[in-house]
Amino acid sequence: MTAARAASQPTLTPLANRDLASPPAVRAPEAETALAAQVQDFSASGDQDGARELFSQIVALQQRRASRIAWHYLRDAAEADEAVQDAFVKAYTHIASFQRNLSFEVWFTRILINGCLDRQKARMRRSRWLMPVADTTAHDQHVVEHASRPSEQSPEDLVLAQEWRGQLAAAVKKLPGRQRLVFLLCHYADHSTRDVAEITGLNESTVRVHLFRAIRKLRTAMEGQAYAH
Amino acid sequence: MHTESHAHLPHPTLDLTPHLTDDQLMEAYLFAPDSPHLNGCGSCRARYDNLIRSLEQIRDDAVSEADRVFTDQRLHDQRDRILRRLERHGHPGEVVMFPNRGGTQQAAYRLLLGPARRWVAGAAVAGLVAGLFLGFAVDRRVGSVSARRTIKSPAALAAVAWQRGSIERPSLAAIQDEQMLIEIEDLITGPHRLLEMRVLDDMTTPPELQKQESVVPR
Repeated sequence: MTAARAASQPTLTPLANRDLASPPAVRAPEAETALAAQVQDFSASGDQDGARELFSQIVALQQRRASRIAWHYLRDAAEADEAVQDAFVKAYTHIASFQRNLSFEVWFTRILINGCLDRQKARMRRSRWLMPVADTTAHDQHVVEHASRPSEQSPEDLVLAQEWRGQLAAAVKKLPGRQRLVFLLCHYADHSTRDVAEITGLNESTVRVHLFRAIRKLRTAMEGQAYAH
Repeated sequence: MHTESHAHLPHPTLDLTPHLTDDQLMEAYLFAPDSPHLNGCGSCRARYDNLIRSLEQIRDDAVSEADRVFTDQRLHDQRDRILRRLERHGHPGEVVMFPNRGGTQQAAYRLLLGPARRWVAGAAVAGLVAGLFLGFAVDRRVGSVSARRTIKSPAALAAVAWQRGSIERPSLAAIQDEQMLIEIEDLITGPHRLLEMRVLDDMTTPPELQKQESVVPR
C-alpha cells in the first residue's frame, strides 16, 4: 500500500461500529422505505402511472448498489444486469406484500440474492451438461482491466493489480456459500451485520462468525501477495 | 501485515502482556473495537489499523471494479429497460385478430358461416378428391417405373456378370470389402437404425472420446 493511499484514509471504521458510522448522505435506506410505502398506496388505489413514477426513484437510488452485489455474485455483466432487472420487476409486482415496518433495502436485497442464487444454480446445471458457448466472463474482465485505467500506472503495476484482483476473486469464489454471501454483503455492499442477518435469516452472531471465518480464509489465501494499485 | 511470531514479541517499554494474535485482532474488528489492550498497546493498534486498512482496500477495489463494469450509461440503459418492463406489466398483451384486414370479428364470422360457406365447403371437397386421384395416379406410375428399374446390389450385379463370363472372378479381398459395404448399407437403412449406428459408433470411437461420451445422458 502506498503512503499516499494510507493518508487518504484517515478514519478507519471497525465493522462493529459501522451502523453508527455510516453517514446518512451516502445511504438513506429509510427514504426508499418511505417511497416503497407510497408506491404501495398508489398501486392499491389503482394509479399505476404514479406508482411507476415513484418506483423509478427507488430504482435510481438502489440500482448501483444492486448491480455491485449481482456483479460480485455472478461475475458476468450481462447476467448481473438481468438479475437486477428481474429483482426490480419482482419487487414492483409484489409491492403489496412489502411490510412497511421493515427496510425496503433489506427486502429488495433478499429478492436480488435469491435471484442470483437461482441463476448460479442454473449456470451450474448448464455447465454440467453443456459445453460453454462463449466466455463472457473473459470479456467482462477485459472491460474491467481496460476501462478508465489510470494513466500513471506502469505496466508492471497493472499486471500486479490484475493478478492480485484475479487471486482475490478466486479466493472469494472458493469460500463456502454462506461465508461468501455474508462477506459480499458486509464488505462489498457495505451492509451492517444486522442487515445481513435480516437478509439471510441468520442470527447476527452467526453472521459475524461467518464473516470472521471468511476474512481469515481470505487473509490466508492472499498472504504474501503484494497489493498493487 | 505482521507475522504471528512477531506479534507475540513483548514491547520493550510496555508491560509483558502478550500481544493480540491476528485472530484476536479480527475478533476486535468484528465484535469489540474498543478493546482495552488496543487502546494501550501501540504495536497492536498499528496492526489493527493495518488490518482495517487492508480490508477497506479490498472493498474499495471491489467497488471500483464493479463500477467500471456498470458505467453510468449502462445503469441508465438498465433503468430504461426496467421501466419499460414495468409499463408492460401494467398493460397485458392484447389478442390480435387474424386475419385482420380492417374487418371486424363479425365480418370474419360472416365469411365462414354466411352464404359463402357452401362454396367454401364445395371447393374443399373438390380439392380433396383431386388430390387423392393425383396421388394414386402418381404412385402407380412410379411403381411401374421402379419395377422396370430394379436396383440390384453391386455384389449381385457382379455375381451375374461373373456367371455370364463377362468379367473375371473377383478376388477374396474385393468380395469382403463389398460385403462390408452392403452390411453398412443395411445397418443404415435397417429398422433399428439408431441402435445399430450406436454400436458402429462404439466400434469406431476412440477410447478418449468414449470416456467423454459416457457422462453425456442419452
